[in-house]
Amino acid sequence: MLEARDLRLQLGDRRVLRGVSFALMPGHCLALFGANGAGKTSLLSLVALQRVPTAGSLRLFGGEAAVDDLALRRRLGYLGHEPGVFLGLTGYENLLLYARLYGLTDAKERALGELRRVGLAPFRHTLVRSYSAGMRQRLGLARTLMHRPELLLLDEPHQSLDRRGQDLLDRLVAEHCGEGGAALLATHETERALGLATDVMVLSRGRIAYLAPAAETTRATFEKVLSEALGGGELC
Amino acid sequence: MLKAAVWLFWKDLSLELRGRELLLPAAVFGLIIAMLYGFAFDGGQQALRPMFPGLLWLGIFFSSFLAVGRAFGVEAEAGQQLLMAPIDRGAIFLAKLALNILLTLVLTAVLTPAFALLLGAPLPRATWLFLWTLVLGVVGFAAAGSAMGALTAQTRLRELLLPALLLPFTSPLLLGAVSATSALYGKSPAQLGSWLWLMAVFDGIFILVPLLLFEYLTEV
Repeated sequence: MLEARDLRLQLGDRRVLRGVSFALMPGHCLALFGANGAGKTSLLSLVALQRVPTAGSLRLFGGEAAVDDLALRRRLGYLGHEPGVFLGLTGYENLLLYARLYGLTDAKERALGELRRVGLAPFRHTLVRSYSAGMRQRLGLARTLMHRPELLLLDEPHQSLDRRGQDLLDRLVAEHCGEGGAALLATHETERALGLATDVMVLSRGRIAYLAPAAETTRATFEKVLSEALGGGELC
Repeated sequence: MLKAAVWLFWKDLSLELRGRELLLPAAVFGLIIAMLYGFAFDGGQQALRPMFPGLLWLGIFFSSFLAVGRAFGVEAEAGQQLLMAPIDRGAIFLAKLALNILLTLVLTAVLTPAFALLLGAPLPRATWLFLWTLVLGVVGFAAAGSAMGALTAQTRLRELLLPALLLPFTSPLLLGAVSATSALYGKSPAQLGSWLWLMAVFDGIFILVPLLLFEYLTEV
């Protein structure tokens, strides 16, 4: 589903990614860890077709990734640091807009269904401006999942969510991967991500410091690698 | 692309109708300019009338700038998410252009009578030609503003860059609009057609070129 080979990204004089290679198969969830500035968000932005790599190759769904490929964009679901919803619209209007932009035939039903799935149906006619940060994040998650993307790209999705919201997020991601989708999840939520992921990657200064199946990763090994990647600091 | 543009226009219009973040400040600013002109130039004097076209268009341009220039800015992060939707990005430009044209037309409809009243200048007798001149000027400014707004939306020096780009780029349009309006008041009326053509060509360029290049404009 995703194959990155020697991905490099330079922004100004800063080398953000320095040769990142990995693959992500259907049904897999790759948890991406690393210190702030390690390159997690940049890697996600490359896969989300928001940036073009300086060097290296990125293949998505068996073909070379191109930023202007509309069919590719349709198969991706991206939730960044911000939920990407319009504050001056209601939750329902936000989802309806995206459902229509994604060309979903049952736009109204899909928007309502997604609002129910993330627990926001009672607030569907409330302006998002009045939502709490956690509610906005739930709405962002609904927006990301609504068009049934094959590859989920989630950048610190647990932020702002309460425990129930985090449980919901984990359940939806697990369902997505269980149905044959894949997910790339950048996070600082170690415990949750380790419980959810099939594979674990640690980035350090734009390079892969650790990449292995979650089942083969012992807690002690992971803590040691992550601690080194964080510059000897405490675990997040 | 048109279908997506219609949905995005609906979104933009809904946001503006609820927030009134663009039109209201621009209209208030324009009316204040009109009042200040009225005080400064002692409105109603016969000698002031030749200056009316220039004062009117400067008022329209400066106040429209407040609305048009900020149209891309009000969305911030959510607008970035739109770039990931599987739609031709030209649809985003078309929707913003439609909104900016609508806002600037409303603004012009408010400011033109206000300027005429406060500066004591009667509107030209050739009403349809005057309306046509206003529409060409408004559409051109909205188109240029939409293009420059997109170009500068993600830059850190946006507040500085936007006027630095937009005002020089629209100076041919301003020249055409002022000259065409002056021609309607009897100053070199034979040249009216040429000025209207100049404005129409400007409008065409600033609608078509950004529409074709919008994909690249949003990657800058």
